Amino acid sequence: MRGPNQPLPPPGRSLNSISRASNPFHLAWRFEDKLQYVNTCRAASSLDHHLGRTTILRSQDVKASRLITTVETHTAGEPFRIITSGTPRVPGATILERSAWLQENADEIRRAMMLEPRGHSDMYGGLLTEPVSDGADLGIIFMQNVDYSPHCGHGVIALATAAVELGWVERVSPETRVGIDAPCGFIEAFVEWDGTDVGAVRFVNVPSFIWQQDISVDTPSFGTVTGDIAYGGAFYFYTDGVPFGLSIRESEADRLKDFGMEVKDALNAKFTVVHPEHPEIRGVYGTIVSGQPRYPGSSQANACIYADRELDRSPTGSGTAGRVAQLYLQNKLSRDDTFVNESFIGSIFEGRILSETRIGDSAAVVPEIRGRAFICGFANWILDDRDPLTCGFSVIR
Amino acid sequence: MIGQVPAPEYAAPRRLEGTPVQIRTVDTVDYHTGGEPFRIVVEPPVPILGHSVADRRIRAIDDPAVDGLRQVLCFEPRGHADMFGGFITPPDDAGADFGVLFWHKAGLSTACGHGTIALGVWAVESGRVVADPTGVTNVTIDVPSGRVVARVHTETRQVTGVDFVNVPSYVLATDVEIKTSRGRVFVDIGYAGSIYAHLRAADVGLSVEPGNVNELIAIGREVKSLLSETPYAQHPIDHGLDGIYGTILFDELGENEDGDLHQRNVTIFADGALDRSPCGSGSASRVAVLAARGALRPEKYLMHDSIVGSRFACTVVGETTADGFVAVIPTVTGMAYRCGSSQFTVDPRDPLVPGFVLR
Repeated sequence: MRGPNQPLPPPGRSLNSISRASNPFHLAWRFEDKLQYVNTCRAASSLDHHLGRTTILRSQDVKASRLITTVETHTAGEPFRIITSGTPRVPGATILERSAWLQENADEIRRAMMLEPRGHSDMYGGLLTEPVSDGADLGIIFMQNVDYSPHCGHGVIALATAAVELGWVERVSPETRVGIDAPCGFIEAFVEWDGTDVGAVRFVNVPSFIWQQDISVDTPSFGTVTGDIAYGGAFYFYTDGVPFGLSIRESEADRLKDFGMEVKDALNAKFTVVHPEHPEIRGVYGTIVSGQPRYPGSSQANACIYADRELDRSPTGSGTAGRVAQLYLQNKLSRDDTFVNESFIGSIFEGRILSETRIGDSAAVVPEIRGRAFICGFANWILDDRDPLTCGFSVIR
Repeated sequence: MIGQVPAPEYAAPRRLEGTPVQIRTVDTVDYHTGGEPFRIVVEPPVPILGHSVADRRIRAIDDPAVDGLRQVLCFEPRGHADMFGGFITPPDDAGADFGVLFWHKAGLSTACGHGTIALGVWAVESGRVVADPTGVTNVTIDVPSGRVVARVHTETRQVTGVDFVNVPSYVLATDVEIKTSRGRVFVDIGYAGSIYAHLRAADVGLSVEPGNVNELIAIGREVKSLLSETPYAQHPIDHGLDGIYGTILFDELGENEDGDLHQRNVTIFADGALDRSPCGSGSASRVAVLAARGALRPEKYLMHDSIVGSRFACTVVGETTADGFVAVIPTVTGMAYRCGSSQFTVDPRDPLVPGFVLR
């Protein structure tokens, strides 16, 4: 028990750690404790008044143990939260090294920005970093609800849009070039700029190829699933949803997530998928399920399930790149075709083939992806050390 | 999907005809109470008219400008399916500090315990209500269901917790037998502003852990639907309050050395929504049931944990009768933390306005 002349208790850390002795109000609201406490406060207050310090309790401190600023954007419905300041300088000669450093040393930034309560289970974002290659304007470390992604097409479109709309690069009409260093390599984006507004963004993707065709895995709930693994900046497994009764619509979101995760987990248990030139890029990142589109003029609809049950609201940039590579290399798409890919919410990306190349022993192509992003806000996020949930939590369903 | 289906032509999107969303920017302050988000709109950019907060809510329901604002802030891409928030309004009279309209993905609600706690913290932290030197500041808020008080505790210039005094709460029924897909179980029914069914998670082979969320949501929905057409879902007086609002699944974690009960719960409410916090009114209904059963002894606390590890400390501060039942007045003490402030923008060319939610 505290006597009236003893100092006030230190600020409570959290409801979980407040002891009865330090805070009579929360966990043990006994009358005598309360009276004691009120008398202590009154004594302190009248002393302050006497000394002319009447303002001591007028405003309450909000302790921002850390302040992180973001630009909030979305590309075709998929969020992309761009972290612009408030983080430590991330060391590393390449973006992949920086991504690994962040994971090792400051993963709480990703958790705080992606997970609840500031984000949600389908949040996506990137941390702005200095470029590492000649000709690049920006570097970006991609992140989502479990870790860090090698590539993210919708993120490239969003980042290029923000860079032009907010003047991070010199704006040129009709198209402004934005060079982006992503974990998977250098990406060049071209942003329509009419002098006032940003329009659509096209970007030249990394070389994309088929890793292996006609492979099957057994899943607990959906039986044997057959498809191709292709690379468009990350490795995706492509399969048709029709045999499993999966349509690419909002109402199927939960089943698409179940299907996508079962397939992805089975694939990663059975195959060791490694990029022939970038051995750090490994493993199947997502399952892409295709189906009938809702709009005439769309080539297909698809849904990408990636990370931990994340379901892409956009048609997936890198996924669309892998898809056009797969179709072109299987002679199902020609150089003149524009592939119009629809997401499960009906938003659209376009893909086409720019040129042919090789990756390791495989034939590869350089695809171009086109889409559109919008800025939807600017945020100052506070991380309060007193808050036991300050670094985020996930409730994944 | 709720909301506007996007126009397919992303490359040259037109302004959607008939969309009610005219706002271009809106400022918010984001708090969370025990993990449950609460997005405060201090100065709503559209008029919210009415002669009282209750009246403002009724009018706002049919006002496309207000509903558009709610959707912009609640739906993706700016919010998500589990977002909650409030529009600050003037109070009904000088007896309250301010008014609020609570909102979530399905519309405007009449009361919100975790929101009231967040508003209490915000009011004092922002200086809107001047902190009392005694360390206890009453923040009086007009909400659509009436006038509520958030009792805000401060220590050395920081807010440390908020007491929320609930409406009189009582037990409607105990040991109601129902047959679920996970077996025959007994539930208690408690009223605390809304009607909740209480079910021991172990009785359906579960525990309240994040890995079980899909199973917990499924059984929560099932219990609610099994009881919805029965007399147990009826309020004794006010049929406007009929219906099982939520299912509380709980784990019993024993007593601490002071004789306080320790439990963990998850409340599955509305249409399969999962409360990240220990649930304000749900905790109050637990207090009523546990006090009636003698498990929560006088002057002892229920340490009520949530599925994400946050805690409310709950106790009985008074006894009364209500609606012909012996009732208790529960107090729920929790803490909200500010997690950010945002200026959201709406690009007039964006086809995905006001947004969309899944589920």
